[in-house]
Amino acid sequence: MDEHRQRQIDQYLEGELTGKDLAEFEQALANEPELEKELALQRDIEAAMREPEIADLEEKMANIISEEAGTVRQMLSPRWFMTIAAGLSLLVGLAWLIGSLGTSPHTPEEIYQSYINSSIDLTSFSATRSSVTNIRENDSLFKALQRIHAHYQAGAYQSALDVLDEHPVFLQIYPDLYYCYKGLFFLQVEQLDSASVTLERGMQGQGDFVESSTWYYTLLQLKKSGNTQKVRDRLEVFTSYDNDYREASINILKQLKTD
Amino acid sequence: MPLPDPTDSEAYYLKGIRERNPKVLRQMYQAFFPALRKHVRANGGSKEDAEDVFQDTIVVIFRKLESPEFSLRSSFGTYVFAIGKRVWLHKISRRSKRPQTSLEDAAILQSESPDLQVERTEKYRFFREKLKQLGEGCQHVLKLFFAGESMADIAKKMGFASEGYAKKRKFHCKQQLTKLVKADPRFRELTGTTNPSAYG
Repeated sequence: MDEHRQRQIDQYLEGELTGKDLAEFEQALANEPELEKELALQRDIEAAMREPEIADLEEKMANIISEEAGTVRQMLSPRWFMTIAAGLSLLVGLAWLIGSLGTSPHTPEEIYQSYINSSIDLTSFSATRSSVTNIRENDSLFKALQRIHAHYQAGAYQSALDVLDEHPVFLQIYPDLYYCYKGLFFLQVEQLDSASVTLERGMQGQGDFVESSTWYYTLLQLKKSGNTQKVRDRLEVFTSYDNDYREASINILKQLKTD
Repeated sequence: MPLPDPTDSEAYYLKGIRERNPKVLRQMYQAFFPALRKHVRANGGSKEDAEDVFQDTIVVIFRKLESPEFSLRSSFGTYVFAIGKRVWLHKISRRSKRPQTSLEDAAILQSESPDLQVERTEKYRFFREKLKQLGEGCQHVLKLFFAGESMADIAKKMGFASEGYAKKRKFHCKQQLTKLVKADPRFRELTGTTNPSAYG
């Protein structure tokens, strides 16, 4: 498109073409598809520029999306994970230390208490599991999860249970997380039968938390049944492959052998 | 940030869009974006695609609200999701020539195809993005021009020597904008649409 035609388009859109010039341009429009397309483009560009309300709405939406996505990205940043990983390493180290010291607990009840009452940091505990990674993408659900964690860390186990039950979507979409958390909360409030039933359900499904449900169920069996072969067999399973509870299982089995 | 009472939520959200209220827009994002993102990602899109779809969805609803015939025949969430699905289908149909609205969605959308609105929304957002790539001087001249300022006022506000120079500058800036638009690969994609009157 040459500059002469471009100027004609500009003048035409501003109503400055008149008489012979206008007739000539309109004739050209009828005969030159390229000219017609260029005019359509210029009309669209102008129309786009004359929508200040929509431009304002788009800008607001873009800012909101950017801020909200930024919040999620910040939570998923390597630094955040490094902090979690460091915390987790510390917990594992402490657990190993407890297991290695001569003063470590020996009775099944003491062993159970040491693992249930040791400060389980739910945020660290759940951080790298894929269901929690998905939950992070749902702002309201993630906030609910954070409230659950905060209640738990404050020792408000019943409140943590209440928030969990206020959000049936946890059960619908993340049943492994739901049963594991609920079972753990029941353990903390000493509702052992409810814990047992809940954890058993958690062991039957699929997902990142199934192993944790199995672990807490095993600890519960240790508390209820004592140092039995069945409990030791359950613990042996954890020692046979790489998992979060392998070291703890090895330590518990050592303690049970010297019992 | 508490959500509105569910019984008032439809009116609350519609008013929020009409007024472009940032607080309500944020609540809508938090309430409705996750489901739409899930849909887009489950159908081959990225998180960024989902963000574009959500933004365009809200703009399409804003445009529809300008019509006196607008009425909501479903919950607001259902409506957002139906429009969002339509926006996403429109985007991917450019690549795969897939059929678009289901009968159920057509009912929610009041049997009116929002294709032209979707197309306009995407295209116009693209043009406005390209405007932001111009130099500050050109952006200012064009903004004043499209806001309806006279050439004499533009010359005065921009400190140009004459109205004639302002006009020349405006033409030059429009040319630059057009070049930027045509040089972007998205231009081909956006104009190779179902709209038979589209250029390109």
